[in-house]
Amino acid sequence: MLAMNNIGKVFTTDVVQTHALQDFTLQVDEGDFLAVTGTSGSGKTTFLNVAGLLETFDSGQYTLDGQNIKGLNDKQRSQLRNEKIGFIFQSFNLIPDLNLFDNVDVPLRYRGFNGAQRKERILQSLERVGLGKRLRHFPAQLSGGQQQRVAIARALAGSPRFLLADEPTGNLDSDMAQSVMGLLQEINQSGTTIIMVTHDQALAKLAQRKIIVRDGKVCDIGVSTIGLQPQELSAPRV
Amino acid sequence: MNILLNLGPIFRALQRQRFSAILVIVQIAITMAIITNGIAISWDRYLHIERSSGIDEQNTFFMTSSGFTKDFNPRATIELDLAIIRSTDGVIDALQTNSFPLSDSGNWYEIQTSPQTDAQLVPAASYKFDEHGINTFGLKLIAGDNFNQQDTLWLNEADSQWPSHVLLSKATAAALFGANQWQIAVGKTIYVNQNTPIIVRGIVEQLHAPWVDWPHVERTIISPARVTHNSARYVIRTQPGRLNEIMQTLPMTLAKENTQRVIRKVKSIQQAKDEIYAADIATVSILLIVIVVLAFVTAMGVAGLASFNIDKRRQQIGIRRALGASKRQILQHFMLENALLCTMGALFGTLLTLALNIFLVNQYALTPLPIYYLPLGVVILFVISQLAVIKPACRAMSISPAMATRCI
Ligand SMILES: Nc1ncnc2c1ncn2[C@@H]1O[C@H](COP(=O)(O)OP(=O)(O)OP(=O)(O)O)[C@@H](O)[C@H]1O
Ligand SMILES: [Mg+2]
Repeated sequence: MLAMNNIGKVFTTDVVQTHALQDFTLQVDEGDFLAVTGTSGSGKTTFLNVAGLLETFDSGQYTLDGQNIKGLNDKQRSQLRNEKIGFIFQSFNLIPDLNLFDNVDVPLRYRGFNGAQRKERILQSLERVGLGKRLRHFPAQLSGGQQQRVAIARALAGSPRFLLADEPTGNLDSDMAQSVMGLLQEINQSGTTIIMVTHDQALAKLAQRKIIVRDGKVCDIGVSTIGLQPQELSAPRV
Repeated sequence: MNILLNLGPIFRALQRQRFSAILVIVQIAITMAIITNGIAISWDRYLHIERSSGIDEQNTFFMTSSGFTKDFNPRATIELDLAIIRSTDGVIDALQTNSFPLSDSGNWYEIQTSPQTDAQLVPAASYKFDEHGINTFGLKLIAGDNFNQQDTLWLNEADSQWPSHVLLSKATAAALFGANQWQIAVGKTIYVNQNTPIIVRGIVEQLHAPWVDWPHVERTIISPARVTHNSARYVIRTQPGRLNEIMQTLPMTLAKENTQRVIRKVKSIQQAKDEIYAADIATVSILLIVIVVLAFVTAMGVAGLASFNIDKRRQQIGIRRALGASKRQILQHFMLENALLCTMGALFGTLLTLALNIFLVNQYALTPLPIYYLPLGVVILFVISQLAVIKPACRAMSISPAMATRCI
């Protein structure tokens, strides 16, 4: 379970202070599939980064899987991230110099699994996304949809409790987006909690729950699209 | 977690970055070849300069007395001079000699153990000084006896006569009688000028010939003779710490005592040594500067390329952080990558070092590189490149995990 209470996050640059998150309050239960939408700059990525321990927050309370996040040091946060959270990014973010096998291997090595354990997990998770026969391929030799599947395999290989996805279909055409979405649903059904940021209303509807973020706050919770501004219904950004 | 187990993917990833990897490897290899050979040459020269000549170099000086009047009496002058010098406060002992170590002038003879023409000839530098030699030079008599006063033979310049007894340096005795039986030389008759017999009275541990680069520099033969000549060279050994003072006052005392001659060329052994080795010292200094500059340039090169690669991989580092790498693991990643490149550079560098050494040995007749210089070279390059990569690696370490989501 993930619970945020009045989280605040401020970015300070030389010129401006941006309140990227303000009194951000949200609870995500075990097994949820949450879609997060909102206009560009509303704070979705910031929320995801804070939730995924990629960034610290300035105020409020955040509990992940029963653990109070405030006060953890960088090493503890890294470890928690490694064990409990899988990430999927809009631009896939595979490491170009590593083949698929080694890419999926990256988080497992940080986890400290032994060679046999790693190999089993890598093969299993690549198999699960339908790329079990492409172990020696490099990311550049795959289509966008396939690359995103590898990223999903990498996120899943460590059996995380949470899968955080920032516009996972943003760089994909609609067919590929559909299939990636199908894969995420399947993963969710097998018990992994998913939080997905998306601009695609059609995909958002497939999630169990949906929140809209506006000016760094959760402003609507539910599955309806009421209250959305017309531009928020537009096609996915690239 | 055993960090070395992570070499596999790092190595495979480097294969995809061949150009920059090869650049580092080649740079490390070339630097290793030059630095290792440079250190070996410098050290070899250093040992050459610093080796002992067998005498008390720190406390010894010499000077020349040259008579210039028609009725100048060389023998009387020498006898009086030595009496004055030896009784001077602070002087340990003194002698008159034809030559001495580091003087760069003198002569040598071929010695043999039998008068036959086919006997093995042993070249040895010849010194002519009396029983004060042991004490003046601080020599160590390791077998037999010193000369005594009656042994001294006064010769004219034209005389080619040899005294009946001589002392040998240990190396001369070893060359004549075999490395392990130099002791048996004492009492034996040896021959100079093919058939002049002389008896070996004693053996001194070490006394160098006058020429530092002579291949037989360790071989000397000492005869208790005094050659009278208008010019005489005196060697004076002082008590520790008194050298400079006595070098100032003694020439004046002697000059006053006898006005038919001048005292010239007053110099300490140390000064003579510095002059003789000036070229060697310059060579070593230049080599050391080259080594330091090259080490610095290589460190800069390694650091620069590491920096470049880290900047290029900022997002990848963010991704690794997002996937759970701790800061330390990022640091380790780059240190390990560098260590891997350095190892390959060192392997290649070992071959290059040997090749350069073979070239130098053939071309300039240098001594072959002792084998332990190779691991030394590897360690030096390893340290240089690991130090060089620390700063860029620390920068990599501080890249935020949010880089994974923020920069596209
Ligand atoms: N590192 C940063 N430094 C300063 N300001 C930042 C930083 N990251 C984000 N911001 C600001 O915080 C606000 C929220 O940004 P965020 O990336 O969370 O928006 P988003 O909802 O993900 O937008 P998009 O849909 O375009 O991805 C924006 O105003 C953004 O400019
Ligand atoms: Mg965003």
